[in-house]
Amino acid sequence: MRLCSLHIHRLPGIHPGFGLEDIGSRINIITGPNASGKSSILRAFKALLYKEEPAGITAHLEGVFQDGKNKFKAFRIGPNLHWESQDSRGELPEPPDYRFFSCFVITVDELLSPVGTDAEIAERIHRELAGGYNLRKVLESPPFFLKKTHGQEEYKRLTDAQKDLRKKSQEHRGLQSEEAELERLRTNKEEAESAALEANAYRRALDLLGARRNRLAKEKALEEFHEGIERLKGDEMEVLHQLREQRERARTNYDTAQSNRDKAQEELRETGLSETCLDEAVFGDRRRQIQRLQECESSVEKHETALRNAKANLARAVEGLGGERAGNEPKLTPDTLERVEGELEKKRKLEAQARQLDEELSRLPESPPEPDPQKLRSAREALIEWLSAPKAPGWTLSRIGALVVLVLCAALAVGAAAMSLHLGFAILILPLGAAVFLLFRGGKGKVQQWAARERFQRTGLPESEEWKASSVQNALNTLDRKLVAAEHTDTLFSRRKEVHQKREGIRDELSSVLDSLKTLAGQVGFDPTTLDASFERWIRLVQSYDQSKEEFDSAQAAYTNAFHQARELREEIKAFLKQHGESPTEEAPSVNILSDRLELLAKRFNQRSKALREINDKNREIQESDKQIQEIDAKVEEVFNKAGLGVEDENILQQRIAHLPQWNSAREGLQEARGAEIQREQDLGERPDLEELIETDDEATLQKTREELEEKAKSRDQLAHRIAQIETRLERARYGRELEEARAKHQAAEDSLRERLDEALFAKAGSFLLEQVEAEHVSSSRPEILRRAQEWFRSFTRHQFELELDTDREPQFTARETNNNERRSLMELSSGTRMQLLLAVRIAFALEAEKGKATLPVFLDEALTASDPDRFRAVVDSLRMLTEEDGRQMFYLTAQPDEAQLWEGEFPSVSVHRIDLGQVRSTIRAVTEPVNLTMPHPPMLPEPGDLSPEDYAVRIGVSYIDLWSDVRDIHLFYLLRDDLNLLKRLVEIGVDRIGPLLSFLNSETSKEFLSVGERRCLTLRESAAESWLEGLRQGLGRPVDRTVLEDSGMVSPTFIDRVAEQATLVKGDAKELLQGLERGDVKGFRSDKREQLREWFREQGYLDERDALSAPEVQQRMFAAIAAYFENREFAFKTAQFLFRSLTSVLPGGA
Amino acid sequence: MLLAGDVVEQSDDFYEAYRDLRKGIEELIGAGVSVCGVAGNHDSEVLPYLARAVPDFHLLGAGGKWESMFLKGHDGMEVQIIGWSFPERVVTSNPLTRELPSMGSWVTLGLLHCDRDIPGSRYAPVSSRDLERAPVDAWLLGHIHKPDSIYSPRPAGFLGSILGLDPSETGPHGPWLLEISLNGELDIKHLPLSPLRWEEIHVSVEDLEMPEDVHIRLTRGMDSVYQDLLSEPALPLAVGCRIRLQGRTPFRAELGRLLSSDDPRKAPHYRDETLFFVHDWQLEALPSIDLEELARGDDPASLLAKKILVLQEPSSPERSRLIKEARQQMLQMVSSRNFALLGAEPPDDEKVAEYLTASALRALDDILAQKRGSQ
Repeated sequence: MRLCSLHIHRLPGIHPGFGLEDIGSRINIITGPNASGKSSILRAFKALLYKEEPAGITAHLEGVFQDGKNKFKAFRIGPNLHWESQDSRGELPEPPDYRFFSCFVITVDELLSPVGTDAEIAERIHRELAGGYNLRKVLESPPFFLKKTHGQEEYKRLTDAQKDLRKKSQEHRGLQSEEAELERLRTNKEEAESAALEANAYRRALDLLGARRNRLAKEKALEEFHEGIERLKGDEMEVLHQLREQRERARTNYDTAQSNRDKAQEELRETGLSETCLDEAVFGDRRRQIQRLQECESSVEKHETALRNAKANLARAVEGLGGERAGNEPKLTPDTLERVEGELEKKRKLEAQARQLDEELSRLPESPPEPDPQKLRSAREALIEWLSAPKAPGWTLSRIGALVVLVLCAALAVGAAAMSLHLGFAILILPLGAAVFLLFRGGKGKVQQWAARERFQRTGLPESEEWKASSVQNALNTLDRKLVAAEHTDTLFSRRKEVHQKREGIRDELSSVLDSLKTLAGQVGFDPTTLDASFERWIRLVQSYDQSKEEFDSAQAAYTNAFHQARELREEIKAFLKQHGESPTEEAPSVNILSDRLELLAKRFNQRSKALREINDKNREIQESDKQIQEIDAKVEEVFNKAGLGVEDENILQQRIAHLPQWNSAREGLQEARGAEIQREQDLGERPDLEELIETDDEATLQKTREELEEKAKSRDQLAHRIAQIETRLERARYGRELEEARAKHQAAEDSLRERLDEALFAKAGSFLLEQVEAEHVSSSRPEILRRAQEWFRSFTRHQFELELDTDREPQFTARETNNNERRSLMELSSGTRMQLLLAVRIAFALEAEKGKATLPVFLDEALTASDPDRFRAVVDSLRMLTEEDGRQMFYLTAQPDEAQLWEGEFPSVSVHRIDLGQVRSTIRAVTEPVNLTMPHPPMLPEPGDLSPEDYAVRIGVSYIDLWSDVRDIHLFYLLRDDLNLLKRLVEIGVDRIGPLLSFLNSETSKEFLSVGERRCLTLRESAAESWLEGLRQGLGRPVDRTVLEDSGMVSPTFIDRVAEQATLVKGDAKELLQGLERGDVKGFRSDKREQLREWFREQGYLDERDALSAPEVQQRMFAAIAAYFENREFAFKTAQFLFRSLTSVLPGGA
Repeated sequence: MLLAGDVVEQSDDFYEAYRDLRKGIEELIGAGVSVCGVAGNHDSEVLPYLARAVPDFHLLGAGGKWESMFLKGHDGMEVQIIGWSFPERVVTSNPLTRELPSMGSWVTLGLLHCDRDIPGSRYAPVSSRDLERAPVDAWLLGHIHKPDSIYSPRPAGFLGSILGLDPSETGPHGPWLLEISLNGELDIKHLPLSPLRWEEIHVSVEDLEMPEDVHIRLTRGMDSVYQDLLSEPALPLAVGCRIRLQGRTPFRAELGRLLSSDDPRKAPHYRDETLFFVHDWQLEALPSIDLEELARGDDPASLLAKKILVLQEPSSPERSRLIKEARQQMLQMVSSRNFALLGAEPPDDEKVAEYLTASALRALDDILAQKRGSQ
């Protein structure tokens, strides 16, 4: 659908209105200065299409549209939109959704700062791209996802195992030389051991010599002592002293025993029992007698108590029968009992009558009735009188009304007279009042009632509350009941008085009977009233009396018997005590006194026994002491005899004993010296040579030889230690299996690392394939929007950029720079490139949005102003292509009239219609100077002609190859130096490096631009270049400079200058730099830092420890990379060689 | 007893392996068995050392000079042995270009440690032609661990290592018995007496009713190996099995998970006196889906299926391109910091193709599982 004409009659901001007739069917360039109404055209267009578009209440717009062959007219007046078909045949076209209209309008502002529309587009494309699979999830899951630390632990283990194995290996190597040395060491050791043994022999010979000399000296000293001294022991004086002390003690014992024997004889005499024949058994018999006496006395006391109790019980039994305790015994005869019974019968009858009268008395009232019956009778009469009084006539209603009328009339008459005639008539009110009083006063009945009432009040009885006939009648009834009760009480009270009088008479009679009984008691010996109790009780009392009497008699007999026994025993004991001088002073001594006396006698008996024993003991002691004294005297004599002296030679003995220690010492010294000499002789063994030297007392020779030998033996321990060390190590090496273990560990670590590598390669292969699949799927199944957008963007940027959809996070468009493969977000793009990207996306999406709907013109509102001439041309070419493809109408609104020329350019088949809005609106024209219309020219490259490839390269500005740049940065010259025409064609369309080439080969355009052979050639050469660069880098490592060192963070500011200088000296070679650091070229740089730096270099690719490849090896790799493209392998190899030379020859510094 | 070199792994192993070797040789000599040998690249130092320590051990060709000796059998027959030893670890020249000892009409056996038909090898490279030309009745060669098939009447070839030093060295290993009749005829026989044997077992996972049944197949595979071993003169003490699961199965993913959780490597077991253990297993089975049919689509699963099919076409340029591009990435991995230490050779085309195929199959399992999960 295209816009044929537009009339803006009224639109806010536009005055006066204007109209555009004859609008071009394809490209319309509307030029005009700012504020000339360019944007208003857009607003008006939109308002004619969409009712939702606000246009203002006063808006009045008209437009004519053509969709195919049908023409439609549209009116917009205020909010109302109306469409009509001019020929009434065609259906009204349906424009694309209102929200997608922005896709058809492209403004500078929107292209410079992306709006929500672009995000929505990106989201929609992303959804289509997903294709139902989540390849990312597979890629980010095991086994395709590897941690950054994958293999790190195994690497560390292998490094450690390597170190350990190296160490063990070195140890074994070292051990070999040590083993070779072992024989020599053993020989030396044997020699040293022999010397040590010989030195020992000399040492022993010297010892023997010394011992011999010592023995001779001791013998000489012993010969100088007195003869006979050897018979002394040295303790003779001490023995004598001890014997004399023993003799003194024996003498003292003798004397003491004599004295004690005398004292004991005196004590025997003092007991007074020296001549008696008493023995211990007699005392036993007497003690048992005293014990029996004590039992008898206890028995007497016990029987005495029983007798007393029996006596008391008997008295209580007599008392129970009413007798006197100390009186006569009761006379319990039938006569006495009959007399007693007669008196008791009288007493019982009187007591029964008294009880009967007491009972009646208790039922009769104790006081007269209250109130008095007489008073009640008076009150009753008064009430009867009140009730019997005549009654006054009753007050009826008519009667009361007549009286009131009469009284009022009279009062009015009096009042009227007083007021109208004279006040004196007022006096008439008094007679009127009196008359009224008299009228209402009671009659004779009332007076009678008042009198009756007064009489009632005089009785003092309680009055009723009101004196009405009913109340009085009630009071009268009450009074009648009270009167009956009072009269009954009065009768009972009179009876009580009679009974009381009779009861007093019986009491007197009973008193006289009791007196008679008391008299009888004195006569029978017991209380007769007891017979008044029950017969059972009487029997018990009599039985108690009999039992008490019997017990009393028994107790008395036992007591008498015990008493006589005790008296006999006491007398017998008293006689025994008296016989031995211990008679008690009392006539009837108690058991205690007798016992005390007996114990005194026993004590004396003991003293006698003790004294006799003491006398015997002392006699024996006297005999023993005497014998001891005789023995000691004999021993003293023996001591002197043994020393060859008499008892009188004590002084001589003392002198000899004084010399004895020296003699003993000399003798012991000699014995020791002899022993030592014998021991030394044994130690020395059979050594005649040395014995001879000893015999000749040649100490000097012995000493000198010994010193010489000891010096020689000194190295023995060192040698032994050294040999032991080596042998231990050898043993350990032979049996310890350390090397084997280290090797096994190393192998295990290597196997582990290989497993990790295997996993890593598996993961890498998988991720490689999945990424390829993802890319291919994106490429093959990408939505038309994305495909077209990518094509356009590629075209707009002359293959310098690729459009991509970043789906890592929120989907958004990005651009990949083809010469370095770097991805850039919109914000990282230049404004021109960003505009081109968004333009490509918008247009692609606009086409998608209008599917099945009417096609709309595209409006570009100064959208390309910020683009450089080349890109402007590219965009314009694309848009022109768009208009050509589907006959789309396009409006380009600009204030720059020169931009119009760009649209006309090289496509004359597409008509470009120019509308000068200034002219239309009769305002200023946009173009002022012809120079403004000058068209920018695309870059032109020289023809290769006869130029050599190298000259041509210089002409087109080919750059060197940077070995460390991306392969995509390599200029195509190096691949196409043998086809400069193809090179020119590519560079002219902006494809100058491998990066843009890859992008271009991936585009649809390349299929038209290049032949199949050219595409194949370029593809394989690019592969070769990649292999070349990879091969060349192997083993080199990236160059290290100051920046790299600073980035590593391993070199402190103290060292950075010196290390950076060193890096420059080795031309950035990390390996050499590290070697220099190891040698100490930078003093003070720590080894741990150096190793950390080494690790960092390895990780970052500055240190590549692989072997560098030779030129043939690199060529071989290149060959392997391209061989699959050739049937002829030789040709493939030649191509590889050619490319190797081409690429290598221009490296800085040559190949 | 003839030793063809490399009887000690490390050239500096003078105390551990040396001790064992010396003990064994002394026992043999003590039992009246003559022992002679040549030094290989691995024991170029150890064997001369042993020869010095044990005078009855004959090291032939010490110092890189051919040398000969005679052995006399119980029947009085004399046999000449000529041999050449590595004088150092690396010898790049062909020892057969040097003068050989003079030989007569008696039986002569050549004992040599060398690399055959690898020009430029660092380990005494010789050609098959040189060996054929030499006037000996047999060539008993050392160096290559895998034994050749050696036949009479003129036995010649690598004897192989006495046992498989690496799980990849599958099959029989052990000494050879060479018998010489009085008329000079040679009869050689391999005696697979190695106590440890490695075997690769191909287990089909086709027609599994359930994934768990794979264990039964594994057991059957090992049973089959055991039955084969029973026909050999001696059973090894242990058999290390390398399992390769092959065929088509719908349980590919389940098998992977099952064997990871219920890992057969953790379940060694005895068959009579022989210990069977699984050293490793690889799931090489293909999914039971029709890859060709799947590859007709254009979704990621189809594209992946296409890749698998491409990898199965050895002559396809697309396969070469795929391998080349993948190798580029794998090279980075091989030479990365953690793995450079291994000094591993970059994977060759076939290895890269193996990695790609295996990972593609696994990835296909995963993404098809996504599809099944979303249904």
